[in-house]
Amino acid sequence: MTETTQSIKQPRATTGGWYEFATRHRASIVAAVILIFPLVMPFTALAVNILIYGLYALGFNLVFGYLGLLSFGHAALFGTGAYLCGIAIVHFGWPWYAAIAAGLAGGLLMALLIGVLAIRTRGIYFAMVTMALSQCVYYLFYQAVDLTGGENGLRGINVRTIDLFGLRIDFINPMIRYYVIAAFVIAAFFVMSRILASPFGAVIEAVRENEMRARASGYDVTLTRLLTFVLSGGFCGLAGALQALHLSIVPIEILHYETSGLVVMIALLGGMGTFFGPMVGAAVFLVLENIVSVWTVHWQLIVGAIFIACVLFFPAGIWGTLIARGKR
Amino acid sequence: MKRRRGRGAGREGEGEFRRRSLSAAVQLAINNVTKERGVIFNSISQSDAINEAADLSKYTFHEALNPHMTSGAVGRYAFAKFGKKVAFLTADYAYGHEMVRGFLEVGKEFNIENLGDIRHPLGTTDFSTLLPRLQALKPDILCISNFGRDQQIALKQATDFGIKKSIQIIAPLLSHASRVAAGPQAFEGVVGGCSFYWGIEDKFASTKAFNDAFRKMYDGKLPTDYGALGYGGVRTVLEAVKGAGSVETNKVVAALEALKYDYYKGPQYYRKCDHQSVQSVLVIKSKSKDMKNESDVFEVLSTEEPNEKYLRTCEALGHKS
Amino acid sequence: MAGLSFDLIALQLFAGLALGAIYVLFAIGLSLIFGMLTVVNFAHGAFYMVGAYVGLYLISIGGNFWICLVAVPIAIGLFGLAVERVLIRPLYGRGIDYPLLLTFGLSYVMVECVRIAFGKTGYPFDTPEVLQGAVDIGVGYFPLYRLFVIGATAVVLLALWLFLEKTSFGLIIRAGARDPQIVRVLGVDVSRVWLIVFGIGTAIAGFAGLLAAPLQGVIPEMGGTILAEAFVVTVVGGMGSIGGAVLAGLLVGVVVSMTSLFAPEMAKVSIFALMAIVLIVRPQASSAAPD
Repeated sequence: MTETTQSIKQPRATTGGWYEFATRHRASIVAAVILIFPLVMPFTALAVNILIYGLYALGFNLVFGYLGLLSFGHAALFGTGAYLCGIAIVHFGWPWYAAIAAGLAGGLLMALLIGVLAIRTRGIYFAMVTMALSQCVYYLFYQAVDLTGGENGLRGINVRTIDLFGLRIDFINPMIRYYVIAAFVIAAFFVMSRILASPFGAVIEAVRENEMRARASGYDVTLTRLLTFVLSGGFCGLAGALQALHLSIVPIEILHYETSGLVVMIALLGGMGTFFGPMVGAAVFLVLENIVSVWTVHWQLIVGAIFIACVLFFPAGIWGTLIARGKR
Repeated sequence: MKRRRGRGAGREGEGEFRRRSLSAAVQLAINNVTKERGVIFNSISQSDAINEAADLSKYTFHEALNPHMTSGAVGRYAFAKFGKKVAFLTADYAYGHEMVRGFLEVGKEFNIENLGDIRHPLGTTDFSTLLPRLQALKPDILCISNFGRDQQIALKQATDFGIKKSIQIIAPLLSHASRVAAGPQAFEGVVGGCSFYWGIEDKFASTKAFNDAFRKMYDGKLPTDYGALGYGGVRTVLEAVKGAGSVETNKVVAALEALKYDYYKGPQYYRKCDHQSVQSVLVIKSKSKDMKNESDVFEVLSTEEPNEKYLRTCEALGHKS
Repeated sequence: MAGLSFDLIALQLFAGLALGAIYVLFAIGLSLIFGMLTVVNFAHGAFYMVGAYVGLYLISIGGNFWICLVAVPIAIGLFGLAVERVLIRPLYGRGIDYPLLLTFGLSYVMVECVRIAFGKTGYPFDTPEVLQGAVDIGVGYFPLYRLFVIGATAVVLLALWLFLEKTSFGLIIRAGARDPQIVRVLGVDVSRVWLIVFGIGTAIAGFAGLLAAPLQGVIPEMGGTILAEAFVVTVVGGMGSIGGAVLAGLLVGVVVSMTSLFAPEMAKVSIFALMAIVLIVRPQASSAAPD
């Protein structure tokens, strides 16, 4: 997968062009697009879904695209974030912002737990062990009926209004809900941009490109991998927490391995290892799902076909392919 | 906007869709959202939780049976007839747990002996490691509380293991689609409950009228249990809107609460405290021979008439009188 | 619960081995394809499911189960050949993730196509008449058909072993798995070898699906559950090792069976826990392994 990714450390002084511009102001561009986004969507709930899955894919992409490890267990991170946020509200009556923090922390912790166990394994084994561990997480939450509602799902995450510096905001209003969630997603994108531009971001890619050389240069490869995986868990946990607030329930399916497969699909479609790829992938995927499922119930056929086509013909994904064109 | 969400009305005989879209989990999820938004929701999937105070929404009605009613009716029939030693094989999720709770509750009246309850994970495709254990318990009755594909496979494999030779198998709910998907062999002789079977058309004019209309619309096909439920779920809301002369939520809710109806299976009404439809429960047995047509799959053994005493009391559900 | 008699434990052990035989049969094709091609076939469950449906179709047009036993693996094997030639071959040398992702997409397509052709609802699949009923195996009754499945698995394993170990083509396959470069230099068309291996692997998947049909009926999603279980078997046995897959399959069967006896609700998670433990403690799964 390495050949498809582009380095984020482009020398800045070369020819201008949209690609250079986009790279320099990437987080701001995401912010701008997100702000006008719901105006062009058929309905706001779809826009919210795109935001949340985009964020989920952003976190996943850190491991998949930038670190070069295929995880088939990210549902555990997303789901833990959602459940912890929901449990904080339903069982402990925490305010919404504390619950989001709980979800984020849950993602980090779960990633640490899975990471410690899985990070030594490589390649296909990493995919398998993350899948197996996320299955264990699924059953853990499934069995903890008192906290999670088990198969019935966790209900009652009903946040009607949110208090913001004394202001009471109507969270049921779809537009307001969108912008509240968007604020978190934009913040996450800024943080991600900072991480990737930092020296640590360079180490992540160095590990992907050549593990031996990274090690020889004095970097702790295992620790870098673990840290990256944990950071990824933070983004996915936040996405999960927002999902819980948005849906006002947490279904157990959120931990199903199909949720893990979905994010692989979104990242691949958008372009792995690219900054905008996850959001583009989420938008294209969910809009397409919406359109296609209107005229056929056989939506899976289309998904599968798109997936095959991506692997065969556009391994760099939509955004990756655009970048390759833009650089020329 | 007020709209009923009786998902699945008119979509016949699709087992997969039923298991997914009509699972109790989905129902409770919809309930949570409609409760928050003040939208009327008439649910046609089984759950005890939806009646309870914690999940109660004044906008939600429950047209389906609930596990307590279903297991109660089947238990009262089976424990009197087949014996007192009972073993349970139960899907490990709310639906299964609620069914077993119901069976044990009614079992007290019959002094049944509970030989053991084996819980299997949802989505089990092989019961060969559980069946020998159950067989070794030597029960009179094996009560299998699961649904959909789990039920189809469990019954098929129980048949293969020769369990039916000495043990009567009962199930809380036998769905038409599951019986068709699993075939007559697997379900042969199994006794269970259901909310509707087209065969009661000899008994109720409303059933006859519904069946005839259905036959006309779907070239001669007969409605299944869930087909009828979907119909009932929509029809009641529609009639309530007509009665109220308005689509304003509170007026429609009031009209639904006042409704005494007989649209497809005999008399029914919604109980005030939890909006559970008080209705009859049919105890049925799967047929394997002498079938008159492709829908002729069950024989109605007995009918438990609608009565609030078969429901959990409003107090037990946590409602304030 | 009633006490545990010796007979019950013995029967439970036997049930575990019998279940393991089904896992082995399914996982062996997966393992073969991975071992020789380093392709993780996520569509293996879909081939299994299509095998069951082809059997169902053949019987509906007047065939019988015994004809299916021959015809289904041939049909699915041919289908597998086509898939390898058209979809998988372009991906060789592009890293291990690509075939995995492609077959993941392919499984969606196959499942949906079957839904379109046969509907979403499952169908019953009757056990062939002569194999119906249960027989006394000394410690209790066991379904005759399950004994037949064990026998069929043994036959497939024996045939595969003879093919790989005793024929010259088998020799080429083994050599190709070890060092495709050298084999190519020696003038062997390696791509043809891989094609045939993929065909054999999928043929076994189809055969396993057919054998599973009388146990649980057929439904488009039937490949999903077993795929996850087969991954466990393959990984526990060491990816690509056929002998390992056999032992691991039986082990997983016994683990499931014993968990069923003592904590039935944990039966499903037990195998994932087993896999996680094996992966974490086993050295070849960590950094030294090829990826």
